[in-house]
Amino acid sequence: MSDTPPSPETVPVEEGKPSLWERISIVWLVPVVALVVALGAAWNNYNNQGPLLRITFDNAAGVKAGETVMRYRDIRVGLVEDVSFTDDLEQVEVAVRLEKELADYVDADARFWVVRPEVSAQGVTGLDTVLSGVYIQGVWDSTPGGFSAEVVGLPNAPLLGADQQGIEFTIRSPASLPAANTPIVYKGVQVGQVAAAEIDDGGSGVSARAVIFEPYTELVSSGTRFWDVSGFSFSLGAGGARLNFDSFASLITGGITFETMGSGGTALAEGAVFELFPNEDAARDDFLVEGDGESVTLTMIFEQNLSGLSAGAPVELGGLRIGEVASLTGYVDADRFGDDDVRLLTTIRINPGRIGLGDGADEDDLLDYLERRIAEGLRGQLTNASLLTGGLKIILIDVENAAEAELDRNGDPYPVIPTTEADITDVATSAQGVLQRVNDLPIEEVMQSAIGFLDNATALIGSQALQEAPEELRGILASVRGLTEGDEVQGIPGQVSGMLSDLQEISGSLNTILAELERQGLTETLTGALDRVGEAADGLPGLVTRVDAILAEAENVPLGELSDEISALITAAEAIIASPEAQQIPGEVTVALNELQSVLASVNAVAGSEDTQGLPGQVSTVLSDLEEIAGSLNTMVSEIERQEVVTRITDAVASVEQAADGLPDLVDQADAILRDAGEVPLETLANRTSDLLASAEALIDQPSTRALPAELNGALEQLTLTLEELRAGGIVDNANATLASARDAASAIEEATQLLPGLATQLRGVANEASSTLSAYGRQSEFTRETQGAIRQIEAAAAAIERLARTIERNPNSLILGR
Amino acid sequence: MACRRCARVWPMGRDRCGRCGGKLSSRDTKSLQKVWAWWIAGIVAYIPANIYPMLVTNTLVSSSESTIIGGAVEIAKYGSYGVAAIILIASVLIPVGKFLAIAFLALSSVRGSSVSPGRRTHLYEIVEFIGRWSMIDVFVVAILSSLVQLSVVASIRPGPAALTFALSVIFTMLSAQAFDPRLIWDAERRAPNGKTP
Repeated sequence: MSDTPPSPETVPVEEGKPSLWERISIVWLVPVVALVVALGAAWNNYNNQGPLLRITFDNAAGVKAGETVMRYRDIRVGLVEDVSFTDDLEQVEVAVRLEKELADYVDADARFWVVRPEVSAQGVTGLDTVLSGVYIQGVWDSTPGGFSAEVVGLPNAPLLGADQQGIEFTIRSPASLPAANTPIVYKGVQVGQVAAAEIDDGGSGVSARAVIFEPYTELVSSGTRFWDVSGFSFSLGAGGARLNFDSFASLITGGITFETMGSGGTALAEGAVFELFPNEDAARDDFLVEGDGESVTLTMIFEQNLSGLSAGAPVELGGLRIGEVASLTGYVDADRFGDDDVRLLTTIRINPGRIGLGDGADEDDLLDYLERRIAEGLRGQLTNASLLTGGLKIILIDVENAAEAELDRNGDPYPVIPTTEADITDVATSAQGVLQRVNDLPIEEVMQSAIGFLDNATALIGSQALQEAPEELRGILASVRGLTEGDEVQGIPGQVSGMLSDLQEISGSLNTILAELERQGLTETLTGALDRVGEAADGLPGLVTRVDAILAEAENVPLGELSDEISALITAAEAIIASPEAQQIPGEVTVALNELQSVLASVNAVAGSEDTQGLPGQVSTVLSDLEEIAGSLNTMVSEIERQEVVTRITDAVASVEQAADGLPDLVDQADAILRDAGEVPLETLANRTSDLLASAEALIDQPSTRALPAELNGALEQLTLTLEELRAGGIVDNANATLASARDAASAIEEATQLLPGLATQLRGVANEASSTLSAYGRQSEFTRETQGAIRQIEAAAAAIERLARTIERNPNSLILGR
Repeated sequence: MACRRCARVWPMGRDRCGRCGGKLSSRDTKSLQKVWAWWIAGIVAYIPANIYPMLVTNTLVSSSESTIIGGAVEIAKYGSYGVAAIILIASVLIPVGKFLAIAFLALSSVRGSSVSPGRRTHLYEIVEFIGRWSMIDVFVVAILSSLVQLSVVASIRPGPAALTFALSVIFTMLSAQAFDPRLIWDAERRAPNGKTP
């Protein structure tokens, strides 16, 4: 069999082609893995790349591409990839590669600024950037708001740093604000900061943004007042000199502090506006005026344009400060006032809360109140705030009988309060007036008048006519004696005794008649009548008492005054006596005495005449006639007796009794009359009398009276009048007192003047001390040298660090290479 | 058949060296594959080694990162041409030369070359010798990093390039080792065979 299968040995064995896996070395995994790793790394790198943020800055000094980083909360979150200019070359555009996971937070509200080293009075900031170079600080809130690729960077660091929370507000001042970055300090702790000040529109003041950090924002409310504690203040007052500075740091750096002076008030809100006061007192004053309520602005127009009123001067109502003067200016309005005078237009601010209208009082409440008060006479008035400084203030006072005026609510620009005349006392003018009046006193004339009066009195007493008067009187008495020693007169007693015996007879007849009457029972009737009379007499003691009282009152009559007045009258009379007419009186008296003498002489002659000698005879005849008459009377009595006249008499006596019954009434009436008399205001009477005397005096002092002595008498009258007035009015005392006061005032002024140099010396001493203190801070002092030395050393250190930094930056290898 | 480890010659057919226990093979069939694989890995590693910074120098003022070539150029700018030349030679010339040499050897063993096998073997020996010194850059970086650690003032850290450069060197060494120099002579013998009909 030929088809025997070939033996296995002969069958060509082809080696099976090894599979691909067998042929390929395991080592190939290495480059594959390497590639995968490389590609993965590359992809990962690309995938993790954040977005590019473009920030435009005004100034990007120190920002370098590839080197400057962006930080958020001091952690690097990006790197500057490119620095270029904007299209208009006005700004620098910085492209920052931001970390991807932060991109969403960087929204339109994000803020960026370049942090640079800054050396200021407040300290050194950004010191780390000296070595590491500047970096870009980014701040954004923690809520994602979509990525914003183009943002504008801030030129300076914002008030609220990257890791600070707080409330921003505005602080303004009419004068000046402290430098940027001045701290706001509360009880020594910095709780905020002030940014750089900017001038308001129109240049009326400056304002700056400020911030109070959390959690101190609760310390500030609308009742808070800020004031400047920068530097130091030097004040010289009643308490002596005072040098104030809050802390040494604030002396250099300045500072602002505040205090919340009233509770309540609204909490600090974003964008609130506060005023910065120059010192604590001003702040407190403002709070007193402003309180926490809104103040109302009003105007007043004063007729007088007086110096001394200034902005900030108080406005007072009843001694209570209710506001202040906001501003003042001249005002001319010919249409309104009818002339071209310059008037003082003041703008005042009043706080309704200070008047007591309540916390909720608003402008209308205040205006209603003022309108009511102005209708009652309330007016604005300028008055002295201080006598020494001459400062003025405005007070609102009630003026009696004020001219009609009302609150002009529609005044432009503010309601107008009517005003009244200023009440300004000028010390100098008053003192001058007193001295002028003393100077004007007519002392010379008074002395001359007194001398003249004494001369006149001497002349009167020494006049011959007055000395002759006693002689004349003696003559008159002699004549009278001669008359009485005449025989006829001596004979009169005898005739009289005859007449008396006749009368005795008549009485005897009457006695008989009375006996007859008694006989006829008239006695009882008479007794009754007498009893009545006795009753009536009982009332008499009362009467006497009344009279006594009247007399007592009369005693109480100011007789002294009366006598004073009388003596004054007499003095006035003396004045008259002193007059030439009065001096002529002695002469006239002499003449009168002469006449009287001649009258007496004629009387003497008459007495010695025959008719007169016959007079006693006639008298005797008359007496005998009387005797006859008595006889006929006797006869008549007996006739009456005979004709039962007694009965009639009895009737008459009864009538008398009836009449006596009426007596008590009469007594009562008399009593009443006396009582009335007692009630008569004797004092008034006396006063009236005094007045009368005064009137008399006045009458005597009247020009008409004075006209009698006429011009010759002028000096004496002057004296009398002056002495009268001096005595009556105590003018001399007053003048003395005035002079004494003036002297006291003068000596006080002298003392004050003597004190002034001392004060000046003290002032100079204080000034010297202040100057030495200040000069100690000056150029040559050790302190300054030390400070300068320290600053110079700091400068040197900074320069050294800067050199080191520059060297290292330029040549990092020098570190390695040791060069 | 020689042991590649201890160089003792054994008769054919034995698969283990009787002296050192090493595996014996007449030819490494996958030698070229391994060479190319390591070579490619080396190239891959060499690229980032030149792109990424070799040294990160942090000083007080700044932080700088320098790549191999950048550093060499910078040093040359300061006038230290010698140092720059050393860096360039050690870090650029030698690795690149090695890549080229290995590639040349591998290619020539397959396709033949005008260069005599003796010279090629010599080249191979040079490559192998230099390979162990190629890590000099890495050593420099390692030494600097450990020496210059002056806290904030200055510190030097190895950059990512240091790692990849080391990897690259290792890969090229492995690549060179994977090459079987006998292949050079195999090609020499095959060539006359090929010429014979």
